Amino acid sequence: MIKNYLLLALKVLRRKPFYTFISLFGISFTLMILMLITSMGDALFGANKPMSEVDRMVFLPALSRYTQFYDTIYTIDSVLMDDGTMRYDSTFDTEEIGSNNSDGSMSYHFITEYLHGLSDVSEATAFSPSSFVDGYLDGRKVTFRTYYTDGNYWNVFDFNFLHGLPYGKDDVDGGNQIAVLTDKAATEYFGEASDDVIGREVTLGDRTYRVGGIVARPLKDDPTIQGDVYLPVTTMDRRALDAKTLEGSFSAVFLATSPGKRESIKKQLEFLAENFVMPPEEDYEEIALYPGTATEVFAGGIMQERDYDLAKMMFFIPLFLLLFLFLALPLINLINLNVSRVYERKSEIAVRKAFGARSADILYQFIFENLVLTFIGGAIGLILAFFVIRAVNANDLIGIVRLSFSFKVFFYFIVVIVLFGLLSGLLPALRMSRTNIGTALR
Amino acid sequence: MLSHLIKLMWNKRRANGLIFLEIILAFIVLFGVYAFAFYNYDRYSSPLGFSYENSIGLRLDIDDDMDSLAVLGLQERIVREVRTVPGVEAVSFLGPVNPFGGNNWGTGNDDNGFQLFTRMLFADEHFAETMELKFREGRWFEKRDDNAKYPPIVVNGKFMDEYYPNAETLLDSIIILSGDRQVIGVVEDFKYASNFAENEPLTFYPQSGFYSGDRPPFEQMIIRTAPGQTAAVEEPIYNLVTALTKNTDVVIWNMAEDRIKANRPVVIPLVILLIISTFLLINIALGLFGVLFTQINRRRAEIGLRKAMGATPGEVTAQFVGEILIITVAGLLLGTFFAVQVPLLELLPIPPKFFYFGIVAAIATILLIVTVCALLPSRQAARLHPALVLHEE
Repeated sequence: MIKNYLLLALKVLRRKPFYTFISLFGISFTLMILMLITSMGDALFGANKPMSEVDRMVFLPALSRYTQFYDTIYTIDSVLMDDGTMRYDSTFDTEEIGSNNSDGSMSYHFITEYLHGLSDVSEATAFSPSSFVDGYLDGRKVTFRTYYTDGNYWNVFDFNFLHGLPYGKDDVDGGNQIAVLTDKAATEYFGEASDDVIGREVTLGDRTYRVGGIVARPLKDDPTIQGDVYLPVTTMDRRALDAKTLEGSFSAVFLATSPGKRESIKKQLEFLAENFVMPPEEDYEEIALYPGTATEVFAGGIMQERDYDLAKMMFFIPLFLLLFLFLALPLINLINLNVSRVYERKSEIAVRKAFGARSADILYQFIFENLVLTFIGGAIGLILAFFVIRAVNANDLIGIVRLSFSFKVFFYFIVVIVLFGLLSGLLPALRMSRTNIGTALR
Repeated sequence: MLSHLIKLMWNKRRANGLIFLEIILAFIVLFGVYAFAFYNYDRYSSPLGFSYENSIGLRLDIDDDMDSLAVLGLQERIVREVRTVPGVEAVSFLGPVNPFGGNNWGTGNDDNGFQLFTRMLFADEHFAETMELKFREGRWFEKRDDNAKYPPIVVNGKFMDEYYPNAETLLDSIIILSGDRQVIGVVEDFKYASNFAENEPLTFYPQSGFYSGDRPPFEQMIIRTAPGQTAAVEEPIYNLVTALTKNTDVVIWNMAEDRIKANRPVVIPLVILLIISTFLLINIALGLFGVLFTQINRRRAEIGLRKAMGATPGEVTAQFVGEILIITVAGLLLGTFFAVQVPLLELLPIPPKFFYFGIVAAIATILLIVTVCALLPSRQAARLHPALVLHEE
């Protein structure tokens, strides 16, 4: 039966090449874009290496220091009493009229001094992301984005080590000059990313490091893991590391014992900020911390909004509306086209019905035919998407992150294709299955 | 004729519902894309106000333990020696904010009785020459300003237009902006964040008021070179500066590349939106074409009858095109009703004129596409010979 349907579907497609072309054009392009969106969504929100445990992570990118200003407003009510005297009632309110604040990443001192010993935390790391180092190598310039991290960094983030090993706590404490490079950085500097590179020397700024390991580039897009070169925190500028100020260049990530415990960590951090005793030399009176999950920090950063629930709404609602509009148009277009196309086959349906086919049979047949069409379009879309993803990865169009083509993403693609096929085929098929034999056979 | 067509379409409302829906959705998408594109084009077309094509930026690290006199001496020496590198034309130091760098400083007050807010940029006395600024009035900072009674500032044209639109001149005015400041010059428009940045009020401050106490000295530079020399001067300048500061913490970037990077947050979504909406339009056009083709072909008998009664091909074409245009106009009207709410209710912080442009452009595009898609099948059908089609029936 299925085989018959398949043959029939292919025959029908070949009969009117122009319509088939229109349908396929719409389907393949739409599905290609959907696949790209799925792939990007997976890179942004999926649990991919080196953030496989993203569901357990709490991010603390920054610290806000502020002084709140208050305005006192006196209100005086005057009441004329019966005996002709005036009575005055005065009340006053204080309200917040603004604040003077300074936001920025934290100092190593602040993180190590105040943010340790939280409960429900299995691992915590402090690192200084995004400084750049230029070097001139045989007359050409290499610019690396360097991350200074503690030893725990490698326990929180499960980087894929292609060669060698990470540096550990002892290396960090000892100030050993060991570097971990991405495969891209290694290729750029040494011309190759292989076992031979391990142990060789790389000069960054005024220091020379020994290559300890080479990691694959991240499959996830997140500002905490975008380094080209990772170095022990103790090898950075001593003054910045030892500074006793609150602000510095560091961020912190906490790995909770379970996804449900993240709330507890956030609460503890907020409690800590509320009860923080400001050192007297600071210009500000209070601090605030805004810990959040990866999605919360992402949406908050894009929307510049500190209330993460609001930020998520502000970010995702327009995004889904846009996606909906983008999907609805080709879908309606396809339904429209299908509705007018199947009209041509009225007589065929009537004949089948006259020979005893039920409406459900007709319905299945048309949905099946539409699925065949969608799968062909989906296959074309998949090939297009594959090439676009390859181009994106090859040219670093979206930064260091690599879009993956994993089974998981492939599975999402199939789901998308089937949904699209069902949605676009249902209405025309329903209409056709209700064809009246009498009028159609006339 | 028109009321007749409207009645015809109303009777077929179920069949035409999908086309109607498609038109509304297409209108909303196009309206959004056009409004976004017009708004950004408008900002893009306002000038940056400085030259970046042959300039490089440089960040260095001055030892915190040096006293301020030594720092100033070092800066002067760096400027003097970098200036001698072959290919270099002008050299200037600037503070923490650099053009296209993504940093922003701002200050404001309401001391003069009205709210005043301005971006801040910190630069030395060579900045105007290095960036090739154009002056509306007055002059740039000079060495002698360090001892002036009031610290000098230079503002941009937008500052003057926004806060002192009726003033003939701002020169020598004392304005409270982080202390009493004397305006010594007004440059033409100057926006530094990216080509797509708003043209905002901006004030330039010299180093003398900035580098004090807890603030570091100027640690960024802009170096303008002769055309085509930006790559060639990088390594000699790097070597020179690392030797002078005794610190290899020196980063050099190309300002022209930095500009492209700074524009990226707008350019990438814009390009993606344009590609997607072009595809959607092609898709809709093809789909509409196919649908109308089958629909019109199904009415061959009707065409034959009308022609037999004496209708010209032009009249038949006009009828079909008119029919589809009625659905389209109905869809556009409903779409416009929703779209005008955006500027009327001020839902987005963008000047309303761009939304009206967007509505007009979207209507024009959709009418054009629909007319073209209806014209081709209608004309083909109108050419049918009555004898032939009536015979089929």
